[in-house]
Amino acid sequence: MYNYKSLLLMLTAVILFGATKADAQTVRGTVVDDETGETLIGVNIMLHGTNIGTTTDINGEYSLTVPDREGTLVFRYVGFVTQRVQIDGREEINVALDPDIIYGDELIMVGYGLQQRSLVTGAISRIESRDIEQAAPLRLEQALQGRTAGVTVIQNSGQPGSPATVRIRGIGTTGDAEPLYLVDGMPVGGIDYLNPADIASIEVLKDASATAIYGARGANGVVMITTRQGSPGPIQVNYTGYVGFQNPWKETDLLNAPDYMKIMNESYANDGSTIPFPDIEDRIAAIGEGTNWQEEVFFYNAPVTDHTLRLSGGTETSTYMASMSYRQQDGIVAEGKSNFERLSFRVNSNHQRGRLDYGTRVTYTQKTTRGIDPNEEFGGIMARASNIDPVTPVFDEDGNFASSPFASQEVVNPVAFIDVINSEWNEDKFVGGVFGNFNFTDRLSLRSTLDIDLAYGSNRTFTPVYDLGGNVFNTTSSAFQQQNKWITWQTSHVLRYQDQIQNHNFSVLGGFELLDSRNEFLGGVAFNLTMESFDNAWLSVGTDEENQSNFGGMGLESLASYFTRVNYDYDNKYMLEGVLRVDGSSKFGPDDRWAVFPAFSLGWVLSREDFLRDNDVISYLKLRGGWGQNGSDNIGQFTYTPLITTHAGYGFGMTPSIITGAYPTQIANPNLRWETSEQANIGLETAFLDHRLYFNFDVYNKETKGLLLAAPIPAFIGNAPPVVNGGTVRNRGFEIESGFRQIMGDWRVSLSLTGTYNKNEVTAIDNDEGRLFGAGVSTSMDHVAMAMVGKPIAFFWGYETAGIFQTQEEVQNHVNSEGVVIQPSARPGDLIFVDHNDDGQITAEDRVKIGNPYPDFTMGFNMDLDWRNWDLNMFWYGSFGNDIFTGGTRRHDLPMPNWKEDVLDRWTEENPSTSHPRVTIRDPNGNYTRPSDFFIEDGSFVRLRNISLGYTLPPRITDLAGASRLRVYVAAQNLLTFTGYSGHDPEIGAYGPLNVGIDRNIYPQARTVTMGINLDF
Amino acid sequence: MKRITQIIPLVGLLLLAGCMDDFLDHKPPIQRTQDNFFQTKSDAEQALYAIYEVLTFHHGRQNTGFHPYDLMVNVLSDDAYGGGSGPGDQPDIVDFNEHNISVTNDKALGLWSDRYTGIYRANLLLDNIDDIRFENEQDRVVMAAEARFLRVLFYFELVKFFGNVPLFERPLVAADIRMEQTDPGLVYEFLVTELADIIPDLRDVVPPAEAGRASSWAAKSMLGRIFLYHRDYAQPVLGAGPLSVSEGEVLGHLEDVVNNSPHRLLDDFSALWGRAGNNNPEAIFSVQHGAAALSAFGDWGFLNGSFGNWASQMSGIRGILFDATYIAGWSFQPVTPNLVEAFDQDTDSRYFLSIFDPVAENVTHRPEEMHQWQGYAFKKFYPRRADLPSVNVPFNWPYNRPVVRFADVLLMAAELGSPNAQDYFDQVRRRSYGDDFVQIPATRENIMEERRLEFAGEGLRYWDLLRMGLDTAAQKINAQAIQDVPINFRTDRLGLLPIPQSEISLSDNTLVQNPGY
Repeated sequence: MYNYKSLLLMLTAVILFGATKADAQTVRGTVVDDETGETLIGVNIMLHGTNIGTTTDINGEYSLTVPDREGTLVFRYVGFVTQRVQIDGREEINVALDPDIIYGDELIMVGYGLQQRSLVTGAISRIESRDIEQAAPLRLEQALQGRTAGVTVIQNSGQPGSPATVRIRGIGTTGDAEPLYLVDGMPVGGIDYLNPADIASIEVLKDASATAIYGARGANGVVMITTRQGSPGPIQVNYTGYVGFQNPWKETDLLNAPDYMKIMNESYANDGSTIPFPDIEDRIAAIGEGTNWQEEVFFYNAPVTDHTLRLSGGTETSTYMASMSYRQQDGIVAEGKSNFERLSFRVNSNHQRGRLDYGTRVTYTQKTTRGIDPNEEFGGIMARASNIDPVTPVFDEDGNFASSPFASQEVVNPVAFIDVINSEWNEDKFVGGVFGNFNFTDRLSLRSTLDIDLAYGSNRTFTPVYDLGGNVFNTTSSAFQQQNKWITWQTSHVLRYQDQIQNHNFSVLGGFELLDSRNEFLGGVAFNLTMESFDNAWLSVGTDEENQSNFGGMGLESLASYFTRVNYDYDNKYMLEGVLRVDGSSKFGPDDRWAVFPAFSLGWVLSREDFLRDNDVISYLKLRGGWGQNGSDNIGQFTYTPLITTHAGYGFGMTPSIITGAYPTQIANPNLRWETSEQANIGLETAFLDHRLYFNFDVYNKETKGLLLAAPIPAFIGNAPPVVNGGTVRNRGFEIESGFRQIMGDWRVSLSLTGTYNKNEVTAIDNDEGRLFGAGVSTSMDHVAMAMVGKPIAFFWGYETAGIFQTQEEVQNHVNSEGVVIQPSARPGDLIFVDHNDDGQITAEDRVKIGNPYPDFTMGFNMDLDWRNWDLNMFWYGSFGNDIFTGGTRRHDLPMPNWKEDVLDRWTEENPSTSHPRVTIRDPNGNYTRPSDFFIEDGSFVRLRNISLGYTLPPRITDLAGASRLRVYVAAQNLLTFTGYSGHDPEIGAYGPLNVGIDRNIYPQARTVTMGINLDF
Repeated sequence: MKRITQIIPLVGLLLLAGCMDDFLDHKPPIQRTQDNFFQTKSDAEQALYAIYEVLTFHHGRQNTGFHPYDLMVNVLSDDAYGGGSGPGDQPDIVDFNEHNISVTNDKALGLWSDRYTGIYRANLLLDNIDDIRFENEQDRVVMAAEARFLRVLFYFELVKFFGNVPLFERPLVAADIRMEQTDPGLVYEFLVTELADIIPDLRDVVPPAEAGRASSWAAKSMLGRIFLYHRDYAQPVLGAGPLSVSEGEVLGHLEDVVNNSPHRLLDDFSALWGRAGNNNPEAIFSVQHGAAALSAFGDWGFLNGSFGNWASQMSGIRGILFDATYIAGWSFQPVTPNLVEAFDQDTDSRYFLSIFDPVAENVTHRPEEMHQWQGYAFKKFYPRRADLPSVNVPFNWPYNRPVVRFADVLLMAAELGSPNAQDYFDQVRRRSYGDDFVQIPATRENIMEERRLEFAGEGLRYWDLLRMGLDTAAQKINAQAIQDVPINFRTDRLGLLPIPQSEISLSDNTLVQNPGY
């Protein structure tokens, strides 16, 4: 009997069986390395959810039989990011895998060696060459800005060649807080000679356990730069270059001529004096808006160009990298007088012969710079442009530079002054080194290096005869020349032993290093030149025998060090590291020459434990912590001994002749030693979803002791006090580094976010005042920056205001607790000052902290977006909580400088403003002469630092030219800036440890648009 | 073989390690240190000149500035008010004039620290001078004597201003913060014994090329000054003990100056002043301010580095438009009408040369810009167009300030009871009044009055007032009070300045404040 059900069953079985057998499909393809294009052998490919899989063969090809062309293929390879690709019915699927550079077992540079990233127990941040390329930095420090947590980078100004202030984990000293820069292991004084395209990676060592191996120089952090090396293979040629145009990103809102005259008239009228522009209507009719001085001094569309050509290649035993680059940049202020040019060559080579590895790193750079003072309130170009009145034209009727009848002192025609600046710096720098690494056995090796840094610098300045009005005049032409030579050599020898016993891995290194650094300088000035031009301005052209002068001398310092480090880990899960470094420096007093710096740190890679080993979500989890001490030897070369100084300060005789007296500069302190920094750090490193998402978090506390101060001795001792180690500063904060990357078909996105929070506080100052006085502004605002216990270094110290008096009655009612009228000379419209010590007067004792120039929090956000051949990159940088002291206006000592537009909201009887006091020249209340919070503005900003859009031409086109890759791109720097600050630029750097964040009319940053290409052969 | 090639580099490294100290020891290449200084005569000269230089210091260790010796002393007396451009301009000077000097007064601290700087440099040289190689032993003797002379000057000014000061003869080190003040009597004893000691060592003849260096006549004259001040003030007011030097000895020295020194009374009072008057024969010892080629100086950051006479810059009046003779200044120490009226303006030739009356001389000026202006300024060191420095004007006025001059020696000898007292007194007055001279007896009162007229503006009046007795001083000084200028000299303060409070704190409270503060 036909059973209906069994027929159905048989049919189903047939169908199923047939489906399985008949629909067996093959998927094939090739897997390559996305970065190099090379095929990858042994890549593991699985059909997700099954145990069907295969691996790629020697040609990188695979062929996988799958039931149907649905589902997801998972491509896994050590050192590469796992990829999941939907089959989507395709027969051929070619995959390019990304090298896994975020977290894994890659090696990173630590002091004197390399260590696997997962085993590192210190706080080290790393930037790759790709990030540096994308930053297309004008200065290398800009590549660090926002991409590494804990590192604050502030551009000192927008002038080409202008340095950046780099601070790692806060300011640890009232002296020089520069971190130690090492390029291929050699300490260098500055990194502006480096071509950023030559750099392979930058490691920033932040906590004491990482920096302790640099001992007496590690207290401010260490920036380790490694230059590119060649790799075996046929010669590779790479060219990158761009051209661009720069413009000021904003113009400060200054008054135009009609408003200026109106305000001036009102100022004088408020004082009861004669108004300067009684004929204001006629003048407005004659000159209209007046002169926009900012426009006159800006150089619009200032060009910038950069080209690098690199050749690299080699064999299994010998590789090389040679590069040549040229950069030229004009500044956006003072056309022709503010520019930068650099030409550099580099050859790096590595060789191997038996047990010996050796190599060289050699570079030569030539630099030429012309510059103006970028942040100076008296004679700076921007200062003059902001203070001079808009009534004066640039040229007068005769075609000469006009001089202003209203401006005085240094405020003269800035365009005329640009004409008078003639100064040039040249530098030739050669940095070279050789190294050798000899492997005695598999376990024991010795690495020796010898490096030299030789630089010649020269500066030549020509000052013509000129008279621009005010006090800006020069009656004799002069030529100034200065030559400098710097030579530093360093040699280091490190013995390394590593071994493994069952699961115990350990390595020990012991090393010894010598460093010697000298500089010689020579210079002179001659007057009354026979030929008055910059080209002829040399010392021999001067004719004034009596007044010419010369100077010359040298400085020198040496350092000798011993260090050792022990690393131990058990099964790559539990790590321990100990470091000891002993430094002897010629800068320390002879009684205290040798400094000892210990550090230790621990780590635990939880993700290698059994309970997390195969976790799907958490792919990496490490906890680490460390403590260490290191030092700062930035204490000057002979500070421990009282030097004899000579001074020509008296004269004898009927026709007097000058005599020179000599005396010791200060009382001695032979115990002068280094500043010591002690830091504790705890960090958590995590990665999720196959390292696609990572999150690192660090918390630290850093105490720096022994800051250099003048000792508190009474005046009757009779000489300047000795420099002693007498202050302490504390920095504490946290850092976040996080990132996410995802591949979705043809789209690839990579995001990263860093954040830094640092709180700085001075905890002791042991000098006679208990505080340190910092920089002032112009002639009347003294000590705007201060250092005091309980406050951050270089905080702003001034009067606190409490609004504006609206009526005379309010003036009379502003009394202290005893009923004394605090500001008897005030009138309605004047600022109300707070009498903090309640003594009925406004004096220096009422000054308090009114601002902090350092940001509370800085953030960087980077986004990479790739789609087929297109790539888009955006990098945002934000700084929050930094205050700026606006010190650029000369209102307090000159009667008629220009104003910013916010003065239009000033207090008048019709406009009872509460934000801007009345305008007055006499200013009996000191609205404009007292440094108060009226001059403090919030300098927080968010900048779109970089944005670039690139297109990589398809291979069929590039093959025609014989090239392997051609990418064209457009990019912009500082395209957008969001800030409430009213001045030229919210990025004001440090011009001294107690001179930070004071805007003296800063040379602004430029908004740059560039177009460039990357070409590889 | 392999083992040896392994051992050798290791041993080599160890050997290198032993030479480290040489590698790290550097001598500063362009500056001397205290260890290698003080070796040759040239070093001694430079150290000595560094002491002389302190005579021109007017700005304190903190560079806060503007307290020239003569100006501050004039302002303390009944000869001048504080002045300036307004109440906010150097209020510390106004406080001096009103005798309302707070323990934190910056000028007091500056006067204290400048003098101690000179003392330090002198002590340093004297401590090291025996180690120096001199070809001519006489040079060592003379230089040591000059250093001691200058040290005496500095201590004398300190003990006059502050009364109770620490006295020490060695250069102090950083650990010496707890120095106690010395009894004033012992300080005066030190001063006179030092002078008595060095008088034979100092030179009698100073070559014109070295004019300005101390001579034995300078020491003798200062001995008179110190003796008189001790007799009339330190003993009665401070209770200082008697000196080991007798009045007869001192008088003998003064007579020696009168009779045997190359110094004399000039016939024409005007020849004493102006740049042409620098180092004239009547000036026995002057602070030098007038070098010709020092046009390069002008550093607002290092005011004590300048060489010119700051009292000149500070006393000029304001509002002078172009004038052929006079230059404008900062209008400090405006003269009191009391001093002006003390002169017999018609007959005393000193009046026109000591007091500047711009109204009478038809010089445009702006009284409204000058604080406490009464119509008169001091003229002896007044900045004049004929002496205008070519650059850095405020730093370089070339007017020497006499510390002691021949006329003073004559009057001191008269005060000490010389048998020629009347003659000396007449000489001084005859020079001033010329044909209008009328003899008056050389009584103490007349001598004091004559001193006021003779030395107007030279920084001597205040000390003379104190020598006349605290009550007299109080009466004369307080009589100058006018509206808005409440002058209140308090006798309980004994005419002394307060010890600067910062010094007391920094000495760990070893120093004790002066009475009345």
